[in-house]
Amino acid sequence: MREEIVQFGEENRLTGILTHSQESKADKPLVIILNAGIVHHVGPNRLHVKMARHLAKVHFDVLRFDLSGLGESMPAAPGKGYEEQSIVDIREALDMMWVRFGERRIILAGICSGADNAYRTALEDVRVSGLILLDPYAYQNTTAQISDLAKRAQDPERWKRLAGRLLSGTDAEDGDEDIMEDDNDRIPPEREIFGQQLQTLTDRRVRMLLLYTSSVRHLINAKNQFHQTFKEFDFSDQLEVDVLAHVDHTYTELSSQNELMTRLDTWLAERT
Amino acid sequence: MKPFHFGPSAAPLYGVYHPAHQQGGRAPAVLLCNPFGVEAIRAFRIYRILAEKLAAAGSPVLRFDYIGTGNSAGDDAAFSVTRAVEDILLAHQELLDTSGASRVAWLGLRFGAGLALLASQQKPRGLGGLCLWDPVTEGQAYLTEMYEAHLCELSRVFDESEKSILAKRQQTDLLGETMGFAVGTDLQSDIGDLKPDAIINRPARRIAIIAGESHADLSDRLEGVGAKVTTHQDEKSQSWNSDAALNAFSVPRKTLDLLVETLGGLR
Repeated sequence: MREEIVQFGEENRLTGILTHSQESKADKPLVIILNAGIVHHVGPNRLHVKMARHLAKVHFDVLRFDLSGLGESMPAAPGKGYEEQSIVDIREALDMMWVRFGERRIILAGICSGADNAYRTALEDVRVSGLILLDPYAYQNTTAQISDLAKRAQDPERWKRLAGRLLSGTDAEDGDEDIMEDDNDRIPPEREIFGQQLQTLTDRRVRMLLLYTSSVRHLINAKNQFHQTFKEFDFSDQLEVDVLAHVDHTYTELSSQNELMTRLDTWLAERT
Repeated sequence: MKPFHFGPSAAPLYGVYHPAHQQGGRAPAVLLCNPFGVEAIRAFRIYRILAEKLAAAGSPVLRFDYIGTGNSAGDDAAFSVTRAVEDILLAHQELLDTSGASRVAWLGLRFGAGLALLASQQKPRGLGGLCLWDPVTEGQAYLTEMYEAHLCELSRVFDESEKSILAKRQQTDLLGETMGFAVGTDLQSDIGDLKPDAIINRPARRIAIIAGESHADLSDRLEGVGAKVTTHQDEKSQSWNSDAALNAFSVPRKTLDLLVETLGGLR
């Protein structure tokens, strides 16, 4: 395993780390890991480093890089919005990877906004043949709502914490993370639109792994809910979904990080 | 700004060099020593902005990741106090060689300050001064703080009481990690040994402490070994240190300005 610092894109403004596998294989897809929110390319809890090095051991060449203006990358010229610029940046990463490794299949991976950017790019670029989406957009159905409310109501400590917070006058501006999480400004597309987009990708034979964690438990807390939510669509076996109820959004616990690596190993072995 | 690898090819360190915007000034070169764990992730952007400010003020700057952290070689378990001290000394020499400077000032943030103090005991050639930003120099208290922060974080993300979190996990597992990073028993032991009494030699002639809280014991110890210590009280000095601040792009600009001014004087 060898790591190389790469700078690419218009005016070489984008910086990333290319983790070369011990033995690069032309039949293996290339993997690109995208920023989670504004955390730089090391990833939350160093997760992107751990993922890249883990995948390199099983013959995947992996790039993790910073979008324009994040981490070590320079800002782009003004004029494009965040989503549009992110797609431009990611497609420049695809260009660089094809120049370096040849025209191989490409898997995009990301947590949260990284997942959003991954699937949006896949819709626009047919070079993307696989998606690893960690906490992508989720949509509440009645079952999830009832289960979550019941669980919350049964936890007296939760009400104590809420009461304490209200009494102390803490608000989001003071940095209260619970409130900021609830006020998450990630705006999903309409459920039907997201379903149609996943259908488009499915029809294009893009393989997808969607893993939801406890952070979206108020929206989805069992894997069959996903299929109920999108029951009018047929994603066949192109799309695999699971709910990791014991795992948090950024895979904080080491056991959850190890579980993620195992899940990736299994999916990549079976689906790529 | 130039990212690069340095050190042994079998286990390279990742660094980013920021050349001074103007050559020939009196500002010292500056080495930025990272904090540990989640704090290093939160401090990344602050350090990049600080490095750019220092470079604009005439200082060549090197920021880098210790072995077992960030982009440097090694998994979490490769991080150790002994190795991190070696890494600081290696980075110090790299900065001297790359910049051509004769003096380097070190900035250590949180546990990075404790590591910088330990590294200074090796008396590296060209160390001009030390700036300690909210230094961690009481290892046992720091271990307790990390444990409590980890427990609190699990309680928050799973929306469960700490009692419930504790009931579902082994105590040894909880002690063996903090906020996404492994803290093995050897590392716990090494961190626990950190205390102001470990400073035997004068780390540098001039030392600045920038902190939100008093560090009287540390200051007394440093003066006791012959250093000239100046202390700057800054209530906002830890405002960067939360995920909320990270996600809100919060930058403690006044603290950074104070650091640039202070480091510029450590020549």
